[in-house]
Amino acid sequence: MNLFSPLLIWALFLLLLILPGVMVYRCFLRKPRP
Amino acid sequence: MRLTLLLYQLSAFLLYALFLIFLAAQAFPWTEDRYSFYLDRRKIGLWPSLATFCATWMSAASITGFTFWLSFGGYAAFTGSVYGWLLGLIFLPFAVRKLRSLRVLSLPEWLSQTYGDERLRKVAAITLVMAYTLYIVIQFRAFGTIVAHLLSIRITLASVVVYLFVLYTTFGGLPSVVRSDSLNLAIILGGVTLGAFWVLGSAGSPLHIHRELLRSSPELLSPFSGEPPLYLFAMLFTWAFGVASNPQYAIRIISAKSSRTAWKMLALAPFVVGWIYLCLTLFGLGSTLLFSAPPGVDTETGYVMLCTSVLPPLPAMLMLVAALAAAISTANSQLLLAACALCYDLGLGERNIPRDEPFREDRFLFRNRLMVALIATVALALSLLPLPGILALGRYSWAVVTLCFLLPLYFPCGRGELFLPLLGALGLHTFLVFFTALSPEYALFPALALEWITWKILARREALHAA
Repeated sequence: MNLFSPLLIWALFLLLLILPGVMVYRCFLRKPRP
Repeated sequence: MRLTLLLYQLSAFLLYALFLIFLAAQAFPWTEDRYSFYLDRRKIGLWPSLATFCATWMSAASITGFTFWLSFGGYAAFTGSVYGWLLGLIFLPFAVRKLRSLRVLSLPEWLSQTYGDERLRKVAAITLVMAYTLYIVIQFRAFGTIVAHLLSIRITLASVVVYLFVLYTTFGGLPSVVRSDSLNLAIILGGVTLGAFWVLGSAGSPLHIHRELLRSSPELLSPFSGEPPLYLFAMLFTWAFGVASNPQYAIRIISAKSSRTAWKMLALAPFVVGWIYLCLTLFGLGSTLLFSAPPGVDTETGYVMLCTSVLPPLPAMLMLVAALAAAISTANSQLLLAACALCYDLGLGERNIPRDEPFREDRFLFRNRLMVALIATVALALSLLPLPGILALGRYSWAVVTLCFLLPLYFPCGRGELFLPLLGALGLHTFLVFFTALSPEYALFPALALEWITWKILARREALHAA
């Protein structure tokens, strides 16, 4: 066991924090190009 | 208990009570109808929406249960709960258009209007009343224990004090819930941030805490920490599906000022709740090095012991008030939704009131407040009974809400014929939980599969008939 495991846990956590925002921006909030 | 500590705790509680009374009272309007009572006229802006969404999100279970589990179970608590909660949030943006386009006042109404079957509304409403009443029992238990400690009074009396708080904030409907939630979120954020910083000051930096844990108990750093991975995955997906389909979140999407406001709220919410989880995780892991709970202690008492042993009086008191704020903010929104299900969806609010009665709407709202009081009283009475399996009942209630709304919201199989699949799934889940030894988390998956398969078959048969 080393510190790699918690590091991975926190990386996935960060991804889950950002994902909804990125998804909302790309799928719903961004205006389509003319 | 030392006098200074008691004085600190008493003044914190009084301050919280005064602020809550002041904020909630502002929301009592002179003219109101069901549209303002349930949805605040769909005019809630981004920041109040975000505050009420996040405050409702953080329940007593998230704060006390997660932190205490983390302090002895390590990262398994993180895998089982935080990942599940955040995964559920990814679904919600896809529900915004569907939920807002029909201009409904409740989720059971949305279900019946979308699938054209009034029976769906009744089944979903009965399920919601039952599920939320059970869940409020857990909230009452949690804050009963905490207030009893804060004020050095008996748990029964403490539960009654908090019961009055919840009644007061719910009587004003969603406008008053939203106002009190802004205060609740600020308290939660302040409490957990201070608590985490204090523990980091005593136990060392996050890297130091992890190195120490690696030396003393390395199993706590594994994502499963000795728990069966299958159980953790079942728990993770139960939470995720529960968050995605729970009306307590969906109603905040409906009540937002516009669809854009709702989407922005959903994009920003992970950062607010993420900060709270980060603080709670650092607090929980750091306190593992400073404190070990006696065996057999229950979650709420364990959380109180954790805060008061690891922290000095002021931050400890703020952490306790944060748990209290989390419990109240979740309980009042669930209470409002349960009353809405009873009075609006099941029709008890308008029964025996003539159509031409001039005060029809006032009487309807009065009955809503009566139902709020009734459900809260039943929950209070249940919370004072020594029911050992009450936490399992909470998980059961989360699962039945999922069965009602997950597939119709995100994975519809057809336009009609949902009633029988839904009834079958609820029946199978109840049977598996109460008549076999299966836990509510495991039982959810066969029930969901049954609902999906039968709905698919019935929808295909209907399509063939139509052709």
